[in-house]
Amino acid sequence: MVADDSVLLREGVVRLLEEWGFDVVGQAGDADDLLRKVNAHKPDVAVVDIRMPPTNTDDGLRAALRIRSEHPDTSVLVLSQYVEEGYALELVGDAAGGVGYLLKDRVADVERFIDAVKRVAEGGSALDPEVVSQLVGRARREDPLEQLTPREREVLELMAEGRSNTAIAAQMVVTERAVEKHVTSIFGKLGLPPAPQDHRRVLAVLTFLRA
Amino acid sequence: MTSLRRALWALAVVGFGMGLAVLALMVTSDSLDTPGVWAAGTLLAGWGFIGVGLYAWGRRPDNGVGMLMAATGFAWLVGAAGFSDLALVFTLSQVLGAVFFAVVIHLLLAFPSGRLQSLAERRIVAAAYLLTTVCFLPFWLFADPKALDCDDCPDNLLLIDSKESLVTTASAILNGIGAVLVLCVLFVMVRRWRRASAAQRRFLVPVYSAGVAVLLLLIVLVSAQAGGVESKALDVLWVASMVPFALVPYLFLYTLVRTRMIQSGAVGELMARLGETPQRGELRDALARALGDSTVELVYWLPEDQRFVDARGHIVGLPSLSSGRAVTKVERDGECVAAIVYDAILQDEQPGYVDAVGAAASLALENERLDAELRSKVEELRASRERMLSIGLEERRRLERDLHDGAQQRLVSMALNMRLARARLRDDPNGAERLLDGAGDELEAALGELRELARGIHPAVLSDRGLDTALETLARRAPVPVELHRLPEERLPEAVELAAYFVVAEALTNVAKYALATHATVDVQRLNGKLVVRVADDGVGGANPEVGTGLRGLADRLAVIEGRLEIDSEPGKGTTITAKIPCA
Repeated sequence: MVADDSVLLREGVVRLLEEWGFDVVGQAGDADDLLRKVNAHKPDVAVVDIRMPPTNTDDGLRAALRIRSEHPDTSVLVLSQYVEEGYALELVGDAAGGVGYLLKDRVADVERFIDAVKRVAEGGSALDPEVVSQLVGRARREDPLEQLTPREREVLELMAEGRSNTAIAAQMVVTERAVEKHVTSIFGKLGLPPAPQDHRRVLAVLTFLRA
Repeated sequence: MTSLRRALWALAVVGFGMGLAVLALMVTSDSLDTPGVWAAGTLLAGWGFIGVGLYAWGRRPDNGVGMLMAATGFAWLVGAAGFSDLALVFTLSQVLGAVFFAVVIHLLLAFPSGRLQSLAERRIVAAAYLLTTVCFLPFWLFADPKALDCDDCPDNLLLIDSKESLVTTASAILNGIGAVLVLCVLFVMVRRWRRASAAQRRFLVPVYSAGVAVLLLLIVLVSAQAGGVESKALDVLWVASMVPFALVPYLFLYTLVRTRMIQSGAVGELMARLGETPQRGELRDALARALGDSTVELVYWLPEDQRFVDARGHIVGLPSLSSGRAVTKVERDGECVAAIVYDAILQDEQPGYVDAVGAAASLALENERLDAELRSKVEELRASRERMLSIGLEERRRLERDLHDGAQQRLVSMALNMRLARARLRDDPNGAERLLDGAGDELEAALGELRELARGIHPAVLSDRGLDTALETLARRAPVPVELHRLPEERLPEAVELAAYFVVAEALTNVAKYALATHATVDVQRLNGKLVVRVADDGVGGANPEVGTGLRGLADRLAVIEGRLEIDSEPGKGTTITAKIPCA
């Protein structure tokens, strides 16, 4: 399911998804249309533009929140024109599974976009690196993040984006074993309880970052 | 009775006694043909100067005119004692009596403030005193009155050796110097007259006219003496110059009394006039008439801005003390309402009178103050609108520049890279890939720049979610830790939210740029129909809205919606920016 009021972009995303083997069951041009069609088709994942009619403000985000609460089996990936980490946090709420918030530009980076859609559809999470870096980079009075090594910081950011250890290892060109060690060290330094599942891990990290 | 008063009464008694003594001396004098006429004229002038001088002295101890007038009277009587037949009195009078001329010059130049105003004036007066004392004394060591055509005169007790030719020459030289001094005095008086305002002239007329008459006759007298005119004619000239001189104190007294009468009448008239609710500008005219000063200006106090404006609402400064203008502030219920700016002469002449006039007009002044305040607001709005316009234009120029230098350049370069890549696609696939990678980077950068640009124009989150969410974002992005205190949860009018947002954005930008702060706090609350936005940091302080466009532009943005910006930024004590935005 793809919802975007810009036909051009919507068609583009649909073509992209179909080309990569997704089955697009419906398209919506506004928030009400989206909710109706999600209700009807019960898709695995909805890719939703944040700015849509009727009010052209954050209708897409609010529709996404409703989908999350009313259709827990449908994952939601929200696309936004701008980085608004507040929105991302709101969207994630208290469950980081089956949810994503990406800058619209990322669509152009096809492989990563598709990867994110897949991850979200499978119940994982995908947060835009810009959002994560805003959260990590914010000024804090006594910043526990300063205890992290640059390497660990990188791992933290990738974790927050919703990547799995395998993906992180591939991105950083290290072994999965090394990533696991980093993760354990990060959780230790930040005083977080260990979380085996990827999306729980995301939530734990986000909860820490937003505090 | 104060000690001053006692002293003045004592002086009055002395003066009276001296007058009687002079009278006795003159009536018994051998050197006078008509002693009665001479004595009457002498006493009229002497007692007049002493009496009026002591009166003025008592009323205005801080103004030297009274003292100088009394001194003139005493010096005059001392000089008149020269008619005595007693050798001792005659000698003393001749030696001391010349000081009289210096005192008169001093009086004329110091009138009416009692102070000599320029170095030139002080030099003239000093020269006059020098001439009539130090230079005159040796003269009398050689002058024998009998040898100088005064057969009836008694002996000069100081006489060492009668040297007629020397004395005649010295006399001519001293008279010449005296004449030059008198001319200088006349020159100063004429110049002062020409520069005087109408109010000043009113005070100057009687004394100046008499003073000029005396000085002119004095010159004629001196030149006649030098020209060898016979003594009968000299006597006539002497009497002729005595008449205006004797009139001076009485004219002065007349001015004082008349001013008082006019003034008490004028306050009454002013009150009546103000009762008829004056039109704009009429109040000034009424006050000008009451004060007898056509140069009166009214300025009004704006307590909010802590400054004065004129009736048209333009900001004005108060004149300095040395400008010849005086300022009297008018208060009402302990609050400054307005200030009357007028000729400083009025203050010299009648201290307290302007206060009385101001108090009488305070209600009317308060009304005009409100009017001026309104005009000042309109004026401020007009100026602010102009600034907004130019800020708007400047922002558009900046946007154009940013778009042109940023995103557009990147897109052009990207297009170029893609065409190059296309051309190399077959022959050099690796090169084409690198070019496409570059194009992708350019694209990403261009998109990033466009995003930032759009946020600067209007933050979407503000209209989407309202002030609290938008401020949370601002706070998160600030380069120093920002604590958010109270934030309104409800939605506010769009213009208010936008203004509050930009206040915090600009303030936090300044914190980052200049304050060297370790943290900042943001507090927004609704208070008495206003949204009070406060951003405080613990930085170096010293922020000045007059320097740089940021804070100034912010104040203008706020002015549009009747908001006000207050900046409290003492060096070393951090900066607190408070915006108060009307928000019913």
